[in-house]
Amino acid sequence: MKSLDFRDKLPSFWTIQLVGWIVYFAVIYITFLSIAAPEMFLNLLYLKGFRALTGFFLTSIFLRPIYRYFGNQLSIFKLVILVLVCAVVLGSAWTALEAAYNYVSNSGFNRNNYLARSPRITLDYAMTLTAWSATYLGIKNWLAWQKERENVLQANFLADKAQLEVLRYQLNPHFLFNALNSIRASVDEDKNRAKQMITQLSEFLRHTLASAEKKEILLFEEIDAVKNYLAIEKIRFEDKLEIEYDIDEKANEFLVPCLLLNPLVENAIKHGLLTSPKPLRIKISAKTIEESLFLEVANTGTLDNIHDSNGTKIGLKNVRERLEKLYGEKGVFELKQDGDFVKARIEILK
Amino acid sequence: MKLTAIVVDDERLARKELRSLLSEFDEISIVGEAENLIEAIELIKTKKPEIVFLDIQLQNENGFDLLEKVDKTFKLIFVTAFDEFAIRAFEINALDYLLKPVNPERLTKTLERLFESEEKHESSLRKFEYEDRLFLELGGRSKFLKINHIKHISADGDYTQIFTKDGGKYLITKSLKEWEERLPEKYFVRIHRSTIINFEFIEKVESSFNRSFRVFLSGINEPFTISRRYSVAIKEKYN
Repeated sequence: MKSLDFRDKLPSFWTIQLVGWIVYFAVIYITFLSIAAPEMFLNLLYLKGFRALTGFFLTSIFLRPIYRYFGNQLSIFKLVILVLVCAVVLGSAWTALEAAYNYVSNSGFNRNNYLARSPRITLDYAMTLTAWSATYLGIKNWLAWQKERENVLQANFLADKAQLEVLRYQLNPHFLFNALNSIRASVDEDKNRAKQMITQLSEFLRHTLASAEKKEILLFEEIDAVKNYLAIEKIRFEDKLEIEYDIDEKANEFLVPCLLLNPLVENAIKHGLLTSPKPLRIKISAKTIEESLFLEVANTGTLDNIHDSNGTKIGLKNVRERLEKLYGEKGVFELKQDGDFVKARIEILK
Repeated sequence: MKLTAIVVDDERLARKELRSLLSEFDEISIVGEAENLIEAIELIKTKKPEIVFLDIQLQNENGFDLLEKVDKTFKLIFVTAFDEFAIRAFEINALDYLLKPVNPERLTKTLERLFESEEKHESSLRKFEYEDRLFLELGGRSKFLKINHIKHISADGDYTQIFTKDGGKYLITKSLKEWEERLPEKYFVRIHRSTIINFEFIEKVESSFNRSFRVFLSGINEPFTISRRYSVAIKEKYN
């Protein structure tokens, strides 16, 4: 999904800041023109320009960094206090700076008069700064809220997608429909076998569906699912397929990711039938050595890349990725030719 | 008169199932079963069946290959568990598809349709998808061609020559216009009275005299001409 960045839709801080203060300047300058004598226009331009410039720098240099630093960690009450304190302190500074400007630029500067007016001017600036703070924090929070909403959407989307992929991969339609076809054929030929197949297929489907919710299961549950799967394939392929199990009693109690073995078993059948002399033999083993688990699915085929379809690659990639995510360095997967067997090995080290 | 049929499937139970479904139809008589392509070819040669029910996913073979090994003297019906190959044919009754487990009603329809004349069907055939495989009848032989392997198609009298990316060249008894109507527009474009090309294989385009263009396809040295008339249409469509 394309990232929806709401920031793109808003001009940058600096654009808003600059335009805002230019407008501020224009307003305080133009509104004074009607009550000022024409010979004062240039002086007023400098004075109001200085005022706007001071506001621009005070907010840029002090207010914004302060809010960026504290903005996210304060309660609303503390934030309001912060805004007011900043407004008073910086408003006073603004007044003082302007007094200094007037002192330097205007020879007729009346110190006492200015001092008397200064609380009024400070209040004026403090309110300007409060308005600035409200605008700044408002935009900032709106963006944060949008961003959060976008993140939630993105996360939900990714989770759905992952789950969909897992399910589509697990519910191998070839297997499912071929199994149903075999059951249909068995109803006449061997009623009991048909019943048994329905049970096995049900168990397998239940396991597959449960895997969408459960992350890890005990190895013997996974082996049971594999047994159900292979029992159905055995009925389909009859004497073309032989299966052996060699499972350590201790291994049964290991927790493994759900449906970890199944892609390997599916591959063993798919590729084994293509490359193995008949009958295809599949050996499934689980061993433990000092708390480490070693799983192996071997088949009498040969490893070749010619028949590597996309589905296989996705399946194996999936196994590798899950091991990596869950166990990091301690989860190992390899696929190799070993004598007459192609062996898919999984190691989950202690 | 009974029609003879054979069933090709690598699973005994699947063959049995189809045989049992077909036993409901008096018009069909099954004269043999094959487990693999070698047996199937042998059966076709000796029994000369009128219908072949063919599983696409045979154990270590692909059902499609059968048709490149024997003369197609029979009506063909594919039987598969999952329709991932998406085979299309130019003629509506050139082949049919059954999905396992086979629905008896669907089977009835298939058999009815198989022996109807082509005229009864609406001629509004659906467009091919880029990923589809096309079932072609070439004289006696058949061929499955992936649509996305077609590089260009050139008119050859009333017929057309297809050129594929692996260097194949097939004469098809269809006109360029029929191809134009069925191929996906997103990829295939008519550039000349006698040529359709696949966009994906374009290497470069040069302008030429008289507002026409020359287009080079990968692996072909000779450029194709986009005539003025079509270049205007192409611009309108793709700009």
